[in-house]
Amino acid sequence: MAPNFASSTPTINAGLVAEAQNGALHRSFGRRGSSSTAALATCGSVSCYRMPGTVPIPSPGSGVAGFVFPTMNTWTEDPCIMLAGIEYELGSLTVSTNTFSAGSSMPTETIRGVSVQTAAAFCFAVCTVAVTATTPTLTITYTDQDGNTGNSCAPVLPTSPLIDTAFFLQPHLANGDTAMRAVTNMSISTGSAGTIRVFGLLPLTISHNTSSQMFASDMLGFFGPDYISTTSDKIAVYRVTSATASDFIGMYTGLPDPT
Amino acid sequence: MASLRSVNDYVARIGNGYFTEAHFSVEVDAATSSTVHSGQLFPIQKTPLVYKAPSLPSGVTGYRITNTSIHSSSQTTFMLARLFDMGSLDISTPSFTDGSAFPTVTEGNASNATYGICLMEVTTALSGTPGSFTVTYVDQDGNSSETTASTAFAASSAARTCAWVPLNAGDVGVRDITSATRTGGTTPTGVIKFWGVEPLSMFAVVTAGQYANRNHLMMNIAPPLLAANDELYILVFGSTSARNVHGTLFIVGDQA
Repeated sequence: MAPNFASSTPTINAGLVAEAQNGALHRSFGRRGSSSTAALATCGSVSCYRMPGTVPIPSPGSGVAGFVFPTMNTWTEDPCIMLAGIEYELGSLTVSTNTFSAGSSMPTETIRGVSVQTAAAFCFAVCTVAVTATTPTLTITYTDQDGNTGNSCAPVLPTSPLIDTAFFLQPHLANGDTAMRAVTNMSISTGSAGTIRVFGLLPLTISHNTSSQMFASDMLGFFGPDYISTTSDKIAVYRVTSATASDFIGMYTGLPDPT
Repeated sequence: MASLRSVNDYVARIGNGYFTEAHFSVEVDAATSSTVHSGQLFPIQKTPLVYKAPSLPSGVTGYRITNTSIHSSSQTTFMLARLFDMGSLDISTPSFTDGSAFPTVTEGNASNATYGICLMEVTTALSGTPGSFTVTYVDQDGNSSETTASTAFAASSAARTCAWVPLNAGDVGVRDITSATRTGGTTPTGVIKFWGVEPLSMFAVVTAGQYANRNHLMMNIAPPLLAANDELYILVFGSTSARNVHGTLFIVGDQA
């Protein structure tokens, strides 16, 4: 019987047993990505783009709690950093009515037998519907990494950012804050159309792509944090440091985590 | 289910002679085109077959790839993949011949219909005015068949040039291709093959002539399992150059 990855330090043999007993996941994924609106120093500084479409995780069967990912590789043809992770929608804002809708909180994960309330250092404000607004100030009230409520950040976005443009929020968190657990309110200073969602990521891989090469990052894999992913989880991929349209391609291997 | 469940099991299996080194040397002997269709941003090539798993010998229930090495005459990113024939489109008629869907496999003790990238390969070069195409597919979530937006073929796209099917918003893979067709063009000719892609590994040859290696046992923790007659190819991303690719698959025979 394979040991539970959440409760014990994973070993090569534990992974082999889990795969042999229950079967591993092997998937490719990919799609076309568009250009995005370049970031400003007032909204994350680095240009980011969220691949439209998330990668679903299949339902495990009896005796399996979910999957861990020892291998995940991503590639795109333009020089940039690729970030992939399990994504949680923390909240959303309808720009035309300046109406906030609450999302979920970052999850509690059991890692090496310890229950950990996670927080997202990789947190993004994403224009999931193209926004019409002139240099709007987006104010986000959040719960920080320590569980304190009521802090806020207020990035100033470029005019009318394109769909799926993502703005990195971590640089704009309140002094002393490093991550978000939850979003409790959002508002925008001006705007007539669009939707902005705040997503938090539990990172699975970070890779650096030059124009013709790929750095396959497994450093966040089997001997790193073990996020047990289940059916309700989805993997999102972000292009960071580039606003240029590009295609995405990727692959992952998922090991079943026994209950 | 397989029974090699530890590194020691693999070592013992090798010690008992249940292993092979499958060397391959393939060539994309002519430059390919940049694109197959107008929605494509970077070139993809497909090599000839690099390995076909033989019939299972006595005492072997499957083949585990524990290590892959690749050496190439030019630098770029490669993917070693098992490809599934999902069908073909002769654009002259046009007529679609259906193939198979992505397989149903046991993952996490559940029987799942899998999904992945669907590759379009030019197997007979496209003519000068090939027209446009649509593909009807079942997406990664198994939703009812949907049809892509009409996309223009690239004129005179050469054989072995590949792209992936331009999916609809929100989709990242396909489970099955149910039909495809061509519209427009002027006496269009050419054949497109659709391949389902199950990735086994990705490599970067960072300098021309350099060697890249992947230890699937230690890094993937789930060495890819092949059945008899499985076919492996190498996909090349981001380049149109003629090239050769050499390498070795180290394979251990699995046991019941």
